[in-house]
Amino acid sequence: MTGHLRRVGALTLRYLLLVGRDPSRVLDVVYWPLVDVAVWAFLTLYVINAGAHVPNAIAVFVGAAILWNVFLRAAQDVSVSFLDDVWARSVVTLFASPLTVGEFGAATMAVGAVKALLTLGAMTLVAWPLYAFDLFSLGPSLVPFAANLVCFGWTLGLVALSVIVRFGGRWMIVAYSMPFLVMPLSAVFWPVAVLPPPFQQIAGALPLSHVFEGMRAVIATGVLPPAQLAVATAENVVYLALAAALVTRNFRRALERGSLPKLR
Amino acid sequence: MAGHDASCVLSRGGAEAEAVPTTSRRDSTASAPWTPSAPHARRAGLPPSPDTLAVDVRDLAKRFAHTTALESATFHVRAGEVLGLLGPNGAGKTTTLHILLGIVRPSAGSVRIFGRDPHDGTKQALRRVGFASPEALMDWRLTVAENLRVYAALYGVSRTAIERTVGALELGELLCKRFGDLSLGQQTRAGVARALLHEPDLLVLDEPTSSLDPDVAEKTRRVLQEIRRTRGLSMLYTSHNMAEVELMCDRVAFLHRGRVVADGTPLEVSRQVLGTASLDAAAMEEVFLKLAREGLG
Repeated sequence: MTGHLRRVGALTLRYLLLVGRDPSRVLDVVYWPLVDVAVWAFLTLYVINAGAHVPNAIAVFVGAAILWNVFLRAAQDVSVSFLDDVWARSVVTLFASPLTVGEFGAATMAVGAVKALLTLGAMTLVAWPLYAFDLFSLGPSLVPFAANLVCFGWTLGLVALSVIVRFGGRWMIVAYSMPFLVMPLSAVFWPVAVLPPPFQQIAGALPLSHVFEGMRAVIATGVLPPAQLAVATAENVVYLALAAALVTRNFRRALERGSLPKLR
Repeated sequence: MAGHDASCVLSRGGAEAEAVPTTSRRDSTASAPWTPSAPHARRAGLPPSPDTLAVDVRDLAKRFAHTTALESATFHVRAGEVLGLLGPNGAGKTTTLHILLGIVRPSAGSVRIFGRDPHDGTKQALRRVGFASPEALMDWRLTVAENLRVYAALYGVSRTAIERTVGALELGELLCKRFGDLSLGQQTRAGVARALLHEPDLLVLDEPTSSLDPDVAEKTRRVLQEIRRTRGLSMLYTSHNMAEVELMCDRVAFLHRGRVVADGTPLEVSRQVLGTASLDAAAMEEVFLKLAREGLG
């Protein structure tokens, strides 16, 4: 067990060292999320000043922007961490060591979680003085919300990672775009009820929609709807297991095809 | 610390852990003697058991979608022995190494490293293996020191191990440089250092000196020979430099079209192929050309 943790820790250290070495990683963790907060806050102010009535508009939109970025970070960093190794041509170096696929996956997930937390912290710090929005007003429900978002982020990240293992680094677009594929149906900034009925069915199958519906319920009533949370958690457990199985399968097939050393 | 980037610190241990140029306190270890750590020191000097096989490859085959890289390769490396795996481009050398390292799965046959299957899912066998190749790189954005820290943590070795390896390979002046800023030769040296960090029992080297100038190549060979002398290290070595092969290798196995067509000491293979009783680099070159062009008939 110690050996597993040590190797996961070593790889996590490596990816976090990269944050300090690569300015684009700082942009990912801090700059773009802050731009997102600013855009949604200004849009909200405009909507309010134009006379539209959206209850708790700042909390709903800025809160959603913050939690969306938590999910986004977790999702992108799992697969982008692997892309880092593909681009650095260090895949062979890493996998010729005692590092297992499971340990590698765990490290990329740890990196995603750490960066998601950093993003959450940065956005919360900015939203509070600028827009008088305190994310912690969500209370203890913030913890299961964030955990579910990170978990679904891992799931999509692992799916993107398995695509890259199968098809190579030229499919990097998957790593960046996959979270945005589910965004329109995830009820991030609008309730599920505004979606056409067939899309509402799809939204129900996405843990994100339950988290964001739950967030809006907490903002409106102060009460966490346990059903939303339970469904999101159950879906996450199933999807994460399926994603892990997909990664394992694609790595195994890459070993059989001999494509791992040729990944570019 | 003055003048040094924070990334040059080999661990969080502060000044003591700071990388220093080989001209200062690292000098005592810089220019050669490889000082093994305690467990290996106990082993040092002991002749390896002739019964122990560091590498045991039997009937190894690998078929890709449109090509066959290995037909049926059989060879072994005894503990403490240096085996040169030779052959022309496309003979299956790199595929063989990749199978040994657990990153390509064989289609048939078996591989064992000190009796363990590197494909058993636990990767236990690879804990005793170090691998260096100009193709196996480290992260280009991190400094050499940062990269070595990461790999030391991956193998669970101490800061002392990093310092010893850095000293032996005279890497002190490179520690603060980003890996991507190094010349090809410097990257190779850093790669060899990474492969030696955890004091492996088997070193797999894929053309380790192909990108080095003669001086650095000679120093690298000297370090490898020193490590081998003090630790009884086993090596599997690929190279196209026949002078190097003749110098470094106890035995050679020659791959041709996915099969081992000659296996023995360089002299034995030379006798077998050329029928001559003497051996030098030129003879090895001739052996290589003859086997690469004609096989063994």
